This record gives sequence, C-alpha cells and structure tokens, in this order.
Amino acid sequence: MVKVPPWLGEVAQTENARCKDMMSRILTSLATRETARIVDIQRDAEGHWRKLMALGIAPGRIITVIQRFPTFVVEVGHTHAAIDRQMAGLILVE
Amino acid sequence: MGIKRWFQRKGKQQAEGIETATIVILGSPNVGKSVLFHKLTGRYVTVSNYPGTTVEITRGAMRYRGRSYKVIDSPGMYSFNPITDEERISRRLLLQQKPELALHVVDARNVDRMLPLTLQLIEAGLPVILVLNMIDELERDGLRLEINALRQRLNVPIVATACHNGRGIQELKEQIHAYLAR
Amino acid sequence: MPTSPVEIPLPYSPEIEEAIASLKPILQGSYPISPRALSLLLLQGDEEALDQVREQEGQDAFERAQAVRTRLQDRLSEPVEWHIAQSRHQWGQALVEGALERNAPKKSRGLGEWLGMLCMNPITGFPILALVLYFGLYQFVGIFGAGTVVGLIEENLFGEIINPAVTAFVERVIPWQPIQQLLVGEYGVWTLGVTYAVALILPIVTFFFLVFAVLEDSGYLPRLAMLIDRAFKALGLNGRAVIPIVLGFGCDTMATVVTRVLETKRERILTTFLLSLTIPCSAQLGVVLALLSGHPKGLLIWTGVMIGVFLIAGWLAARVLPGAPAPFYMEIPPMRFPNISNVIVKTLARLQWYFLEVFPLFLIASLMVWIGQLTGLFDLALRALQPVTQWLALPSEAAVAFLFGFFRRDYGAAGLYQLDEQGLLSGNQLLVVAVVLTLFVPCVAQFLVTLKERGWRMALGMLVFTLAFALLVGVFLSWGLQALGIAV
Repeated sequence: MVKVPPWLGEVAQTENARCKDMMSRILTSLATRETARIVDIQRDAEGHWRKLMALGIAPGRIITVIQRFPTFVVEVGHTHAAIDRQMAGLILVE
Repeated sequence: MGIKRWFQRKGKQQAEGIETATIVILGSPNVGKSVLFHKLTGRYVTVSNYPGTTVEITRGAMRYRGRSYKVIDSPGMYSFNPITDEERISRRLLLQQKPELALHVVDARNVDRMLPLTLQLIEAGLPVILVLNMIDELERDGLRLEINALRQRLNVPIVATACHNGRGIQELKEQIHAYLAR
Repeated sequence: MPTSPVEIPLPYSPEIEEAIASLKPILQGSYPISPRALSLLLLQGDEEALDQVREQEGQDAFERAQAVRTRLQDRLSEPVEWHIAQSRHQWGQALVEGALERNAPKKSRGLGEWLGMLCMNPITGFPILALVLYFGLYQFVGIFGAGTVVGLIEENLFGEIINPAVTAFVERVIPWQPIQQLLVGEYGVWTLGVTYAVALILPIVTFFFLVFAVLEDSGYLPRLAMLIDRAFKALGLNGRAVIPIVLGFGCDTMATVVTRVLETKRERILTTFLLSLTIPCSAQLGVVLALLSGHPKGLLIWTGVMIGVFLIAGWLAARVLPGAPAPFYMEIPPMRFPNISNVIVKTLARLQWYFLEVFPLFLIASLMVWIGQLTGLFDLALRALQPVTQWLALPSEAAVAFLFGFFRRDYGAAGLYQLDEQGLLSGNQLLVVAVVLTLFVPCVAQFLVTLKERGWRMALGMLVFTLAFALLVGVFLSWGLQALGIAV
C-alpha cells in the first residue's frame, strides 16, 4: 500500500487505488540514484501537474532520482529539476 | 520642426525600411532568450541563469541588410495555457502584437519537451522559426541532432545557435530576413 | 528514418476533433489566432479565450460553445486539458525520435558538475554558502567595496576635491542662503543627494551586482534555492524566494520589484515584508560594518539578532497570512564558469536601472529634508523621537540618526560616528543603534516601490509595523545586554 501524503487528499485516494492495480508507486519511494518509468502524473486540483509536464516530467519518460534531501532533484531526459516532496508526490512510477 | 520636414523625414525612414515588421522572441525560462535579444538588437537586458528574469517586456530594433525590424523579448513561457503571470503576459503580448514572426527559442538538448509550444504556435497560425539554442552544450554531451530531419518533419525554418558565443546568429538573421523580405 | 513532413496541425483524439468541428460554425468573429487554436483553448476552459468569444459572438453563441465543452468533458475520463497536454507531449517525443542521437559517450562536465553537486548536498552546500557570503558579501562588497573603494571616492575625491569646489562655486553664484542650503547645505541636493548616490551607493551597489551576476551566471542560485527550500517553507515561502532575498542584500528596492518572479500574491507580500524589515541592503551593511568595526563581538550579535528576527518575523507572518506555501519546482542548469562579458553586461544593465529608478528618489529625499528643516517640521519630529532614544538608553543625538536614516541611512550614521569618536557611545549603544537602523523603516526608495507594487494600505501597514518592531527589538536588546552584563 502506497502511503498517501495528507495534502493530496481525495485525488490521491482514488489514484492510490488505481496505482495498486498497476503495481506503481509514488516517486518519493525511490532511493537516490534509482531509475524508473513514469506511469502517471496525478491531476491535482491546483494544476501543479502542468508544471511537471512543462519540465518534461510526463508519463512514459524515464526518471532518475539524483537527490532526496533537502529537496528532490530528478533527471528526466537532459533536464535536471528540483521539485519538492509535494510535487514529487504527484509522480507515479513503476 | 516644420510639418513638411517631419513628413520628409518619415518618408526617408520608410525608404530605409524603418521597423517594417515585428518579431517576438519567446520560449521557456532559461533558454537564452535575452542573450539572443541582445545579439539581434545590440540592446542590453538583464540576462540570467535562472528562470523568471525578464519580468518586463523589452523592445529593441534589429537592423539587417538595410532593413529594420522591431524585436520584442517576452517573459518565460512553457505553454500556450498560462499558469503564471509571466506566461499570461507573454501570451497577451503574442496575441496583441500579432507579430510577423515568432522566434521560438529552445534548449537544443531538451527540444523534445519544448516542441509542444512550437506545435501550439504553428497550430495558432503564427509564423515560426525554431531556434535550437545551446547547440554547443548538446555537442558537449556527446549528442547529435539531425536538424534536416527535424526541419522536414516540422516544415518550419530551424536554426541552430549558441547565442552566448555568437554561433548561428548570422544564419538566424539571414533566415529572418529571408522570411520577412519575401 | 522517415523524413516526410508531418501533417501539421496534428490530430487529437476523435472526441476532441469532433468538438473542434462542432465549434467551427460558432466562431465567426475575427481572432488573433486560428479557429483551431481558439477552439482548443475554449475546450480547456481558458478564461481569456472565453471572454473573447462572449464579446465577439454574443451570449447565445457563447453558451453553445460552453455546451460543446461540457459534452466533451462528459465523454472523456480525464480533464480535457490533460488529454491535450498528453497528445502534445507525445508528438514532441515522436518528432525528435531518431533525430537526436548519441554519437559519443557523454563527456563529464568535470569540475563544474562536481561543484554543482557539492552545492546541492546539504553537508557541503551550507559551508559553501557560508564561504560565498563571507568572501563575496563580507570581504568583497563590505570590506573592499564599502570600505576601501568608498573611502577613496567619497573622502578623497568628493570630500576633498569635488564638493569643496562645487560648494565654493554655488556660494559665489547664488547669494541667497536658503537656495545655497538646498544645493550644497548639510543635506543639500548635491552634498546629500548626488554625493550619496555617486560616491557611496554606486561603488557598493556595483560591487554587489558584480558578485550577484557571477552567482547567477554560474548556476549557483537555483542550487541555493533547492538547498534552502525547506527552511523557507517554514516562512511561508519556497526556494524561489531566495532570488529576491539575496538580491535584497544589494538593493532592497530592486529586490522588491523582483518579487514579481514569485508565483502567488501571498509569497510576494511575505517577501516584501521580510525585505523591508530584516534584509540589510549593501548601503546598510556598509554603515553597520563601519559602526561596529571596532567591536567584533557586536557584529556577531548583530548578525545573530538579524537571523533571529528574520526567522521569527517570517514564521509569524506566514501564520498570520492565510494560505500555504506554493510547491517548489525549478530547473537546475549545468554549473558553468561565468561568461565575463555577460557578467559585465548584466552589472551595467542593473546599474542603469538603479540610476534611472532609485537615483531620482534620493534627490527627492534631499528636497524633503530641505523642506522639513526650513519649515521646522524636523525639529518637531526630533522632539517626538527624544523619549524613544531614552528607552533605548541612547544619547538624544541618536534621534537625528533615526530620522535621517529614512532618507539616507548613512547620514544618520555619520552623526553617530562623531559621537563615537568623541567617546560618547559605548559598544553596546552602537550595537543597539546598528540593530535598530537595520530593522528600521526601509529607505524612501524602497517605501515608494512597495507603495507601487503592493498598494498604499500594505505599504503603510508595513511602515508602521517595522517602526514599532524595530524599536521593540532595540529596547529588548538594550535591556537584555544590560541584564546579562554583556559589553561588546
């Protein structure tokens, strides 16, 4: 069972049920230097998913966690981006 | 100054081709739009290695082969659907100015994720030249981009540049000229 | 590899294409973008597009368009926007497929990459930040710029050569004393306004902007933003706010303008507040360093008090103002050696801005001082400030420093240097003055920019709060030092 960060609320609850079927997990569960494929970006009500898409963080892409603390740093394609835990929590990987 | 002299001067300016067309520079934050603006117009704007520096719109003029074009540098814009104020400003600028040419500047290494905006511009019916900036960084990463293939697929002019050292600027000016002087 | 041109515009899913087709007869007006692009914006509920359509096609057509949108959304499992974004993203990938290839192994970026990682690692990142602050800000801007260079320009060039000449000239040409006072008097337009701006502020700000441009160009700032994001969240901000905050150490006025890069109104207000209360600009830093130059322990306590106030005030403000910090995301560009000409161009551009925007305000300030003195308003204000100096256990002359601090911070400080030289101020008193002067009201320029950016209500509110808060901290510090028997 994937832990649901409280800020994701209901969206995450339903997403969580879905991601269990697909054997996917939230990006925040990856260790440093771990690579995975993005299966989905959760559509939060505030539309933060659009910012992730703009950074090239989209379903189908390969993502590597470079650093976890104090903030997440990820590599997608040739982009390095810093995203906080809240943004990272929107990314579902397998 | 007499009104007659004013008209004479206006006429002369027109003969010299004073600001016949408007060019808007746009693209995501941090792809080198402001440096390109400087290279095209000779005007200085504050340029940065972090997103969101061009908060205000900067205007200048580019002179090339006896013609003069109005060039506008816009704040960073990821997509045609604005999220931030900057993006809203950029889109409004694009829609109100109805530029004769839009230079979409992208980071060559990340061209795949920046192409959606190019596609949106084409979709909107705006005339676009795609500027693949920081091509030197791409080469440094051991990558090669087949520009001809991309050009054929997209069917818009594409120029590879490395704005900070001036590479490709001449070709870009030539392309702009070719596009607008038609 | 296929090289045939792609049919652009590319087709979206059949549902979306149908919706675009049914919008086509509705959109009859003339728009700056193609009907197809406009339709897509409408289907995604873009407000500006909706307004345009309502305006051009009328309420009836607008409602029909809305109905198309609702119908489409009902047919799709996900938001329309998501479907469209997905398609575009996939096209981007597909178009580059096969055209972008690796022909050599990735070269290591060597030193830059390594340094970039060190800057982001909290264990090494914070010591690096300390080094940057110590060498960049303290040694280069503070000691060299504000000390050595200002000394040369202000004392030698202006103090001994230019100003006596200008004063003699004005006194000979204009016999009328109030006008002489306005131009070359103690607080005159030339002696106060121009001298201050050119001989004092200009060198300090130039040095700061140089350092800032190097930090910017190297790619250090996004790494700092990433490092500090968590700490800033406690202050209701996110890492993005480091840009205006760091810039504030150069010029709070410019930094207040730059708060525009922040995404939410709440963040802009909180940052403006912190800038006006706690972040000392380079001119203030110069003053504080000069005041406390003989008291290293005092300088240490001053730094501690400032950091403490920054954290406490930020934390409290974030609790008072409703809302949550916006999530943080930022691209991290490669770390690289700054391009010298770029650094110079940037510094010059900022200096140009500084001169056009801030310089006139200093001239207005000297005009205001002149009027204040001529009309006796200043004497009244000074008398009102007398009890305040008593609470702070300071000589009554300190009131002059506070009043003028608003117009020209170093001028207030100049009076204090004299008191200090006469041995009338203890180290503790200097420390209290330095703290109050730093927290105290922002300078005229910053106040006016705050007024412009945040509105008069916010600007006045901050002004009153900052005044009260500065004095409160001063009083507490004064008592605290006495109670603990600390002498610096």
